[in-house]
Amino acid sequence: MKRPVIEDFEALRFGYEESLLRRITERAGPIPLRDFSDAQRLLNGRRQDLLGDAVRITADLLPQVYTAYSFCLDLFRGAYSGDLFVRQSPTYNASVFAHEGKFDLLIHSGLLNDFTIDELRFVIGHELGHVAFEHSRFPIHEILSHLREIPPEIASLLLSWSRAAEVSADRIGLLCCGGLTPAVTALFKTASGLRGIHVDRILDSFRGQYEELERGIRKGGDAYRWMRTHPMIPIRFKALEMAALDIVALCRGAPGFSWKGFRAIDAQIAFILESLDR
Amino acid sequence: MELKQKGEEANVGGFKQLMVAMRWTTAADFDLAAAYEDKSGKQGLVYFGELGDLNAHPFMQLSGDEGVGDKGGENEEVLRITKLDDMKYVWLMCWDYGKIKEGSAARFNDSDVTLSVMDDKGTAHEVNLDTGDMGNLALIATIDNSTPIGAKLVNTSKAGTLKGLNKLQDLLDVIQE
Repeated sequence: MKRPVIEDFEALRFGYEESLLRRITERAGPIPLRDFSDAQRLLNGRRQDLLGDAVRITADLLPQVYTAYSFCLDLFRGAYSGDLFVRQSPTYNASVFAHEGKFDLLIHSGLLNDFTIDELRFVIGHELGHVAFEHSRFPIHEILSHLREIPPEIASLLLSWSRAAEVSADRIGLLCCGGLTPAVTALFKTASGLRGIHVDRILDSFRGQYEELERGIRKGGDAYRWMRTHPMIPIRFKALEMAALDIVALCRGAPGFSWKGFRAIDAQIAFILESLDR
Repeated sequence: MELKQKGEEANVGGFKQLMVAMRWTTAADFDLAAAYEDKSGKQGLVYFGELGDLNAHPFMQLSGDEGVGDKGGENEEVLRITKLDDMKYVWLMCWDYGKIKEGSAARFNDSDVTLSVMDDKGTAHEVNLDTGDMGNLALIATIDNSTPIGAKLVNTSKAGTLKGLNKLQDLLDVIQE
């Protein structure tokens, strides 16, 4: 796949994420950013842990995976540097911590065993999206660990922001894998643990679940489950499905893409997520 | 995807989503639209008067109406289709609204209009618009989703002449002639 040239990654950030940050700041003052030395300590400590009990993926060790990782990282043209590690776990998961342009990305071995290269690109791109959008600066989990001390309205906005941040990160994942199909099958495998299902069935399944989930949330019957930092998988799917054509066009340098059109779609997705958040 | 030969057909492969973008700066009121027939036989039209919806039936949407009143500038109309499961046929078309009102020939050839069709894999096809000496409406391409193998885009170049935009059947008559 030809590497896309993107001048402004910030423009891909989900608009709803930005508006939530503004609303939180208006109501509660600036979100306390992670302290510089604390972030440096966390980055160093995490790297020591990874060097100690995970395995760094190199071009010699796993050429295809390393190539996929390099492809994704090179999109940012040297803005960030870091290593990819793998740790033994059948759970489909990945994580990243970044500070001052440096990061280390951990993926579980289950992903390497069961995901295609394009699906891995989506996962790696998603994590690099968190790096590019500097999501690590906001210690959301630490803030929310003191949930009882936070006014409910602010806690709710913080959770909404966290979910919106995942949508932003998914867009970089989509940019890296180059199409809706690998993004959707990666989400499906992550949610279900199943492999070998045709993408048409997966699309049908997600669309059906999204519609039912949307109805349930609008009725207010799912408030407890909505109190989470990550959006439910069918909602991530919907956000991807609606933005996919524009992001693929951007990725391929296709003449159909325009930022004006992308912003209009972004606003529509924001409208949907905001209406579910109410 | 050249559309110079009337009636030419070319299968350009399967896809799940599609985006059509029309851009022009010439002072003209061009419109992008999609007529459809779903698998229950219901027909409909996504156009400036009914922009559609990406999150509900018909899962296709037009970005808006630009160039109204023959206004020049950075005009752009984009049609996105995110789901085709319930559709049997979708006919992608564009017209010169100013000339449809008069029943005279479109100004496509005298404009800088560009039209591109891109599928969900990022494959883009440039489209040349040619409505001949009299036409003011062009059928750009047909999405045929009538078989179990999935949607395919067929290059079905056709041109027609309308006087007034009154009912869907007038468009379908051009499409199906």
